[in-house]
Amino acid sequence: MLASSSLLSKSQIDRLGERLKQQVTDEDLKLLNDYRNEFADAYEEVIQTIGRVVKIEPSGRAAKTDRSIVAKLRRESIRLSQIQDIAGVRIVVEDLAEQDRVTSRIAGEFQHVSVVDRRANPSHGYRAVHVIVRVNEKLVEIQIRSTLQHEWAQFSEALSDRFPGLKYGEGHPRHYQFLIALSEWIEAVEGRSGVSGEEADVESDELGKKLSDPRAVVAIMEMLRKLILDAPEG
Amino acid sequence: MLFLIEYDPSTGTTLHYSQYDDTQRAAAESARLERELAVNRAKVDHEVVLLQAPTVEALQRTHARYFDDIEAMIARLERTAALVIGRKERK
Repeated sequence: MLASSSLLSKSQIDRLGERLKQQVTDEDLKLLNDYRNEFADAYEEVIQTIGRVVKIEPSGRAAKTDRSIVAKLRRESIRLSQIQDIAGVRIVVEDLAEQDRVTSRIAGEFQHVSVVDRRANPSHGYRAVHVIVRVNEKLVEIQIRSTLQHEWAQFSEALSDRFPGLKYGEGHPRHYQFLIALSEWIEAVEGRSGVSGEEADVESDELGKKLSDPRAVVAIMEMLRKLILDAPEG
Repeated sequence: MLFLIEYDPSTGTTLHYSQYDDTQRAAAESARLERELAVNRAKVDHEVVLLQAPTVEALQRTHARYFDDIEAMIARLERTAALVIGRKERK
């Protein structure tokens, strides 16, 4: 495996990140572009490896958007060089068993790998498995989601466009509460990895009671439409 | 295939969409940067992203936010949940 040299030193990358927190200039945007492009070879190698070992052609992006990078730098106390998902790949599989199998196969193919199981510890309701691999000194994040986890994630993202910050726990508490409860309901429907989970740990009000029934899909979606689509924006 | 998208999160609208072959990566990356610079100069909160997927259908599945409205996402979540529940009940 070849070690890739970086055009920018680590301290230059982090100083760029500090400037981006304050203001985005054309010059810094071009520098950020150079930095992101350094991940292209690692990203391509990951795509090829996934295709070879699990026969899946994933979707992805070799470079996280400038908007997302700047938002992350401003939202979290993180340095630009620490961001692990500059390059990201996404795989959607049928169920938890397939998710476990694909995770294991992919993780076994890389020398430097860490697996973050967000099914056990969801982040604001987001459940998935992330495999972070280091290729040629560059990190690439591989998101492995079941179909239900994926549909929740896409819905959460779109909802956060409408209600900014929602997916990070900001905005209207009722909307956030619903997203979390919906995530827990999905966990009850598909079970936990290796466990046939049926109990959703949701609140005890009417919403919670309805969500605790895995077959209550129609009622839940009607509540969701009412809660979200009839609500004022912002 | 590569897909260059400009998206307005505030309205959930895709403002630009273009496709490139995998062999045109350099051109696609250059087009992405030009669009990012234009968005930054215009001081608008748009997202510019260059995505890769085997087909446009695969992209629509993995990155539906750029193609579907919330109502369509709820409907798909509903269908997917019903499928998973049905599959579990048959086991």
